Amino acid sequence: MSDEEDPHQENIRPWQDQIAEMRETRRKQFLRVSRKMLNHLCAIGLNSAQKLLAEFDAAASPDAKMPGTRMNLEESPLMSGEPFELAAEYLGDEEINLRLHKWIKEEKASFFGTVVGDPRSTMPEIADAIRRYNDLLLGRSGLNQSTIKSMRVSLIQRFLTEQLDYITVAKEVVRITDFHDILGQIIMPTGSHGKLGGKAAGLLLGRWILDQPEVSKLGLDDIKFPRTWSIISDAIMDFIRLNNLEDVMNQKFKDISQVRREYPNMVQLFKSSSFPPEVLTGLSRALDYFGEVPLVIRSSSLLEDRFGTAFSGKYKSLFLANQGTKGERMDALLDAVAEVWASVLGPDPIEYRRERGLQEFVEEMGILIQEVVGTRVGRYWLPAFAGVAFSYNEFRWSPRIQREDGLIRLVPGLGTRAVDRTADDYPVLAVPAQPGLRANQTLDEVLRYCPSQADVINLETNRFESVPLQTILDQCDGNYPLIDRVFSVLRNGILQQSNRMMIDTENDDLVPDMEGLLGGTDFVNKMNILLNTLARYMGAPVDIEFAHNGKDFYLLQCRPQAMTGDAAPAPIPVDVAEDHIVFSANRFVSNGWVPPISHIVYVVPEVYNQLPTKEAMIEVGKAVGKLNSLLPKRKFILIGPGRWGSKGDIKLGVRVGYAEINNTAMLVEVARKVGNYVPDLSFGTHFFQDLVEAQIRYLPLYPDEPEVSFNEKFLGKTENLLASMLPKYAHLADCIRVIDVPAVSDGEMLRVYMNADQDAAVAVLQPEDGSREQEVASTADALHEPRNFWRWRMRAAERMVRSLDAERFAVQGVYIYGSVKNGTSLADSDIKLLVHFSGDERQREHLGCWFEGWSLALTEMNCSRTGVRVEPMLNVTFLSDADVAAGKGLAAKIGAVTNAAQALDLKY
Amino acid sequence: MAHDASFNPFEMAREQFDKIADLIGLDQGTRELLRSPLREFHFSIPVRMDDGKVKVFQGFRVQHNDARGPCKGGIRFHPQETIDTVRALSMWMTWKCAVADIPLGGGKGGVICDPHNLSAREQEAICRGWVRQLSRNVGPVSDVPAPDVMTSPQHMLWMLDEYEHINGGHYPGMITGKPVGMGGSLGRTEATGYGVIYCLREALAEKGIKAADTTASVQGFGNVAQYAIELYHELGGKTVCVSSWDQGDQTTYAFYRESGIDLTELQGITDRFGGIDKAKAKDLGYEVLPGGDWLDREVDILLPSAIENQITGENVGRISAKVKIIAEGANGPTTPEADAVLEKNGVFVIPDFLANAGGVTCSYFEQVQCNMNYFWPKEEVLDKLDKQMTMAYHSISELAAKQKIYMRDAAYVVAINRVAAACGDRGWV
Repeated sequence: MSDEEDPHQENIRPWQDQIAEMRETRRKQFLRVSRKMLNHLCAIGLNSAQKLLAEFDAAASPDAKMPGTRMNLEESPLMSGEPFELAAEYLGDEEINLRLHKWIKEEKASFFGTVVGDPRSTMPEIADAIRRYNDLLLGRSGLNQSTIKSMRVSLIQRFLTEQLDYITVAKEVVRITDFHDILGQIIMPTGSHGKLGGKAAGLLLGRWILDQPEVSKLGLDDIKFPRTWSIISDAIMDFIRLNNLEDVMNQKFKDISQVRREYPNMVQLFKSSSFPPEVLTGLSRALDYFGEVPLVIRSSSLLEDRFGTAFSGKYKSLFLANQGTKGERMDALLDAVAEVWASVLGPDPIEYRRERGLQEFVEEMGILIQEVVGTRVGRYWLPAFAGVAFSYNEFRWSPRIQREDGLIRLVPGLGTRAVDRTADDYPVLAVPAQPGLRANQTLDEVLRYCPSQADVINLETNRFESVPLQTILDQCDGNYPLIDRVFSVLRNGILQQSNRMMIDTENDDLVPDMEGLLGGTDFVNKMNILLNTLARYMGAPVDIEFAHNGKDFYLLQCRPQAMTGDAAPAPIPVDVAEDHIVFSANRFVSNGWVPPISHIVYVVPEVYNQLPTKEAMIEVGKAVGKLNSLLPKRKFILIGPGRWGSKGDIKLGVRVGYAEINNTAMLVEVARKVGNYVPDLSFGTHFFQDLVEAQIRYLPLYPDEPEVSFNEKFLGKTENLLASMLPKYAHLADCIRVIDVPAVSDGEMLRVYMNADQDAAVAVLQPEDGSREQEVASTADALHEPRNFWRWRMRAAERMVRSLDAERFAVQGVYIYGSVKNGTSLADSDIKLLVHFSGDERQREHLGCWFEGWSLALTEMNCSRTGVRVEPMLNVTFLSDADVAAGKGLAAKIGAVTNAAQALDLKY
Repeated sequence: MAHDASFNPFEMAREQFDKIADLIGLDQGTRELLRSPLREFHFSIPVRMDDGKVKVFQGFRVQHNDARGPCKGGIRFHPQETIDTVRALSMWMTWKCAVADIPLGGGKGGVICDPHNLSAREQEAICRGWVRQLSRNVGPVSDVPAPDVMTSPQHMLWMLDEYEHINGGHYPGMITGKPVGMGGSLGRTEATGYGVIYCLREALAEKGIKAADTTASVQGFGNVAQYAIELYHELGGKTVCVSSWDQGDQTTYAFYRESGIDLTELQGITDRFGGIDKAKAKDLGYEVLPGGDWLDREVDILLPSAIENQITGENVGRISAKVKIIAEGANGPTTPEADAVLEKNGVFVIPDFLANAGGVTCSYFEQVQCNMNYFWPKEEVLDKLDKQMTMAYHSISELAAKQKIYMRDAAYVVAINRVAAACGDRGWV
């Protein structure tokens, strides 16, 4: 119903003049307005209007199966003005006036729809239309909601993305004027049809959501966004055309080794090319806008929003100190933009796209130029702290933590260290919905698992650096931002919260445990509200990046939490034969990709508990440590009772240190019923942060619960390798079972699928390249299978050995071992060979030369494929007849029980 | 072993006690009394959790013996705590205080919980709940708790505060392990490491060896090891090797320099956990060897100051014939098999619960200072510690010499005799 008043007033019928005039001069407009009036009258339930409409429609489409006859509009009841006659009869003048006014205004704003809706409009034209719309109509178009929504959708499609999920969310939260606000900071060439790219889209969406009136009531209104400029995605095409670089776009069809070889030249080529004038002017304006503040130049690829975060990180992000004269800063900025553009042609992204069949996708790349949130601390620029936060927690250290409780990873300095996993450093962890819980409890844990370095921008050398926190503190003169939030003071063996005035950076022992922030402020709660709000609007769990410069909290990135790669919930295979399931779980399951497993080390809980002495139990831990060093890395799993690494009552878990389990792919803790209670598991807390950073998966098993499987026949009855692998520990064979999975299951491997969405995990025996394999293959496999590094090495080795004249060199056999044989090679792996040689000194010398030649050639091959130079590529050990007979040292690998060296075929 | 005494720590402690009791011919009554704790408290601690629900935790306190003075011993927060562990530990505390000859008995306590699953507020509630249940049975003149597994000075302060609330006054001597300034004692960090060397100094003097003529190899480079080396060097000794854990490589290395290590220099390239930077050490002229090599150095003295079970039946043979003294800074570094070999070879071992009693002695000093509300400067604490340890050492070494028994046995004999005598003097047995 009409939302206006309906005061029946006589004598004012100026609308009749107006429509009469319209009918004479703007007939098409008259028809549209007339139709709107008819629709309105129908909508308010006027019978005669509905009759009129029915007539009209019947004439237009008499038969659903035949095309309707075209109606001469001139003769239609619409042109005759019948709707207005009806209106005059049933509606008040005031109402007719108002409606008419509104419809005419809509007609005026229609230019906007025409421009925005027309795919041929260039981005500058659209920008212009937005400006006109904003200036002329001051944002109050009077357009109805559906029109406005359709405009919003058009704008989102043109500026940001055509991805439906995104549009569905964004169209509810964005206003057309929001686009006006960002126009000033977009660099676009005339004729552009580009977009801003995935990163920009994510950030804008976050910003719009937080601008919603009901959101600001949640106490999130002090969240800021870094000042940002964008270069539209197709500016790179102008750049290429301008410099006649069209050829380079063919890089993606070249052999990957050629791409890699040519890439450095490409970067130089881009850097020495000239920029389109609009881009130059835009960048210059951007520099004036930012001033001398460090900048980060980030790729904002169109693929990122389509295929999730898997693509982020494939392209470059470059930090600029942005210090010096305008000329110097401009040069540095241009270099950086050129380099980020050139990264489209980098070997890694090209290979990645090729693997995914995205080669033909036109890769236009937007660029974000963002101020680096931070503050000057001595000669460094850094935020007080930064980090990432997730709606879903895939690493829980306590059964009290639900997956939905989220996770925060915090570091002092730039957030790069929180985003990436670093081998020797740890971020501080917190759980948004459980602000009181801490992963580290004892002083030793806190000290061991806290950040030791920070990523910063050195304003003097203009470089991005990782520096020890102590170095920053040494020269900060007490002025580290939020020092009392980031650091606790270690005094006399206890960590104390101190206030800013009392902290002495020169003499105090400062520990960046962030306790002041986590325990002393409402930060964690606020992060919880922020994550929940963003997730609620986006209809999906989110992943955000943030930084705090000491004054304000900034949101740097916002996107749906990637359920791809490592964190993808693995589809749980169904219809697996019972005897092919090794174990299953339905409590506390996290997502996590586990590589195919070739060996299982199973410490049998019942036998372990019955071991006669404590020494025997300590021995079990030692044997596990030995197995850890013998079995192929990340291809075996450890299953054992209670708490791995237990330091308390040894009966409740195998006593091992992290070094004794660090090669496992997964740590499984089994809680069997004892009497009528089930003991607590540790959730890996003894090594929790080490497991997180090394991406070793953790799974608790409760075999005595209903609806789970625990295949004791497979785990307990199959052949046990322990005695042959570790003769010294043979007496523990009842307790420790080492199972070579393919050997006892006709070549099948163990696959562990973990799905947190269903809170289910299952370990099944599957052929390594079986059909089910393909069915459940996720992107993660492609990500993690070391990109065929081993495959070509193996092929090359086989070819090489076949070409070896065994007779001439007196070679009895050649064996391969190590990463190539195990299929775990990385880019920098060498090829390890054992050569059983029975010739004389001269033959040996010649053979050495022969291998050396191959080694040099293989080094080149590897370098062109991976960019990594491994010298020597061949690691050859000669074994005499006596060595082989004695079977000691490396010779023991020939015909070994596990992880044996594999014989290569010789041409005889 | 036929039955599983090694798992039941209390059974193990009893076995050890029985062995000594047989040796000294302890009468039946005393034996029975000392085989079991005097008192045990088992109680429930209801805690309102952060989510509003109530969870009930199981708490313990075992007072093994207080014939020589108030019980002393830690409070453990451990998810797999068992009463037998607590019993065993309380008995060991009785012997430890007796060896150090401080007027305290033995106790131990705990709560079955895992702090990793608890917020700070919940842990505070557990601490206060523990004290509410025991406020009449602990205190400066009856039983004095201290930090232990997964409890910290913070927990001690919460407990003290609750106790003082209930009793309406200040009783800082109710608990030890408090931060300096809040009733803690100075000298605590040095106490254990220095204590080891006080004993070593006396042992050398007994044997007529000048410290300045000796060399040592040290396992570990943590708090205990560093202070031990500091004092040993002050005496004129020369340390040629230390071993330390390398976090990056997940293994231990031994750092050897024939001309002797420079403590300050090494501390400059060591992280908080005692991990030495091996590249920098190489630059400074240290040989970086496999961790186990600390054991086979040609030295006079070995100071195992890292973790338990390091000198075993397997590697005891690697020890050089030159080694005269082993002073155990760590807890239980030598296994019984190794002990047998050392005893046979005539190596003089200063057993752990004597050598590292500096820690508990300093706790005693903390309590003494608290009770009179007068705190000593560090020098005074260390000076008193020296006197106490020296005295404790001699009473044991004299017995060992007189009875020609192994030092570890002598220490037990002295400890058990002292406790038994106190029980007898009081007319209990």
